Amino acid sequence: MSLSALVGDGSLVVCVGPGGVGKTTVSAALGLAAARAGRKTLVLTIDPARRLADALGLDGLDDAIRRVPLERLGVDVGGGSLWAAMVDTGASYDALIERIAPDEDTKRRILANRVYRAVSRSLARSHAYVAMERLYDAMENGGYDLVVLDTPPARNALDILDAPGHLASFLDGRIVNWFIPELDKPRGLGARLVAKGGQVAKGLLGRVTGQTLLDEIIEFLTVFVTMREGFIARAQRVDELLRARDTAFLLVSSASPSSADDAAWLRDDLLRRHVPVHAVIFNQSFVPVVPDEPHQLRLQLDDADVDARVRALAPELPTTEALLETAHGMRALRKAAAADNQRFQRIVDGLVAELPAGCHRVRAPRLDEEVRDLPGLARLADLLLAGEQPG
Amino acid sequence: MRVAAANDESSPTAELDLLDHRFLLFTGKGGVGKSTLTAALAIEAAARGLRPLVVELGHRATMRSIFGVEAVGITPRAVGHGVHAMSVEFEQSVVEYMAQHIPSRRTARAIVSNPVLDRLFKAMPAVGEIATINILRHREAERDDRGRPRWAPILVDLDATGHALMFLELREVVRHLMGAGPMRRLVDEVADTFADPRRTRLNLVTLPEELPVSETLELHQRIRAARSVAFGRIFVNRVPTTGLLGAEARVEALHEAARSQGDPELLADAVFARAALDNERRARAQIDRLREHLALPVVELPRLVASRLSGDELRALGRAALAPVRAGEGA
Repeated sequence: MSLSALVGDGSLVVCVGPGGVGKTTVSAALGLAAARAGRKTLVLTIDPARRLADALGLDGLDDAIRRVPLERLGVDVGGGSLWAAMVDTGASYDALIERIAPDEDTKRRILANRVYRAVSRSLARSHAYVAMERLYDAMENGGYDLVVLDTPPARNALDILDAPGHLASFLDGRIVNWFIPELDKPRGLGARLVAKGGQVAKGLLGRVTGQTLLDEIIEFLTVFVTMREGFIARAQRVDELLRARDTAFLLVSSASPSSADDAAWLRDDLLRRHVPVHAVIFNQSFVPVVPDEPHQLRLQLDDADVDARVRALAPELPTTEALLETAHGMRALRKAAAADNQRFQRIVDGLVAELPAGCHRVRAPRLDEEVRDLPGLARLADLLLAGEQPG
Repeated sequence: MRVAAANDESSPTAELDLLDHRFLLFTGKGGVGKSTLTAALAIEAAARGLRPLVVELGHRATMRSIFGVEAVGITPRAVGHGVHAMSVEFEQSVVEYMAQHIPSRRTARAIVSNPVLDRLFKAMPAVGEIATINILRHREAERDDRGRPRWAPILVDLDATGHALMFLELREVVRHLMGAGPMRRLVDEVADTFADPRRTRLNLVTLPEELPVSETLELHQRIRAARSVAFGRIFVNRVPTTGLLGAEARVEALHEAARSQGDPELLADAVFARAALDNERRARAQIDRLREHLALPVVELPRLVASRLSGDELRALGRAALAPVRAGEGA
């Protein structure tokens, strides 16, 4: 399926990639392309990039899903609409607890627990986990035709794929029983061993972290355990969602050597997990060097003719040494850009070579200015859809 | 021990050469070239007779690919050019921390190899970060046979901004989470080292673009307010240079004449040069913005496009990064 077909027919697009390659902007541009194709589309981002809010014409982007004012674009989008939210980890976690806590007392105890607050606010993996929760909610209850998920930058670890199981594993039955054995009174030898393990664990933790943290952990587990089944079930459903046949993973990279290295790690990690990579998008991966041909990378020009061309401008523009020097400087600049394009092309080829034949590759040029409004985002969307290269 | 106030760039300690600090921390948004710069400075430090150790944090393989070696793991290894490097993963460091704190070796092994306990430690808040600073402290305490610090400077590639903040604000996180105990003592000790401007400097790496510069200014403000570390330099990577600044009028004249006389190639050259000049001017404006707001040395570094930088190229980058520069005017 080409990128335009994906935007027109897909139901979940997950953008993964290293930081600093414009992944969030690419996600938003793809969402915009889908909305223009008449679809109800949601872009979920984790990156707190304020520029994205501006680019979408919103006065802010936060945890709440907002409608993007596409009418400002001045084109008819039919029944299409674009929605966007930036997942705020702490707020999303709190909202989740509000939703699933069985009663007021449980809710209050969790929200006040220091282990919960640390887990929900400062752990890197929490971002990935709560993004998955939001995704699940949007897919189940949002009524969207397409959801584009912009993931947090990751390197070789695909946190988002591990995230659903993460909290569930924290609530692993054995851990819980160690700390709060009274929930499940020891019966038989196996249970007595569990209880013994729990004493060792408690003693050890008390020694290393001090009693305060230990008490908080016990409180956290005591309250959370009532919701354990729900967490495990949700984790499974999110995992199924990510592995569904019509979920498309897009690997977004730039063509810089360090981004391409990180992207290669991600590629290998995805392949190892048998997650098919639908397309690799190389954002900002070349500079157009031929006017009106934005995808032309090559340039074959003869330096010797610069002098002749400048002299031919006389008498309208009298030839001077300084003028010749400037003209050569201009030519050198354009040729250097074309040479960089060639180098970047080799990096792109290296990254794509290891991917299965069906994987699409898309290249978008480095834009003169950062995308700052809806028309800019629409231009990027056009460049992406037109930037597909034969595999 | 009372520690001199961090963030006081005007203090005499600021005269210390950047490489004379025990810890040089590097942070910035993803993709701005932190790791390359960290490696480059380490190579230059080694060339000056120092014993640099590069520490990269998290699941990464950047140093491995920059230095072109098989693997970089939790033990420092020589990676060429007189530089040693190590890579610290949270999980591994938790195992190491446990092994150090459990009195009986056999118990330690049993616990570390117990899958359930192992998972609990890895999932516990702040434990991974604490275990990581534990490793940093141990490396800092190492001495060679002449009694000198085995590693100096220790260059820590903190990866993304959020990561850096977590380390620098660990004392605050831990204060609310933990009572007195070995973890709390360790955090306090390392936090004191980080807050001492004679021992530690945080360097910010950025790009000459609006958003990265805004984020750098915000990060600077936040850390400055927390007074958890003193700043070293601001490195601006990939500064574009056209070589045509000052020749704008001639570029315009060539553009105009090429258009009126219908020379498409010369016109294409001029159109390209104009866009490149616009780009350069935008970058200059962003660098001016940094200098306006920060009273720190702002170092401009060129854009490097080679797919792999050679040792010499890295060293040249390191030298450029240490060149004397004037500090910005900001407060």
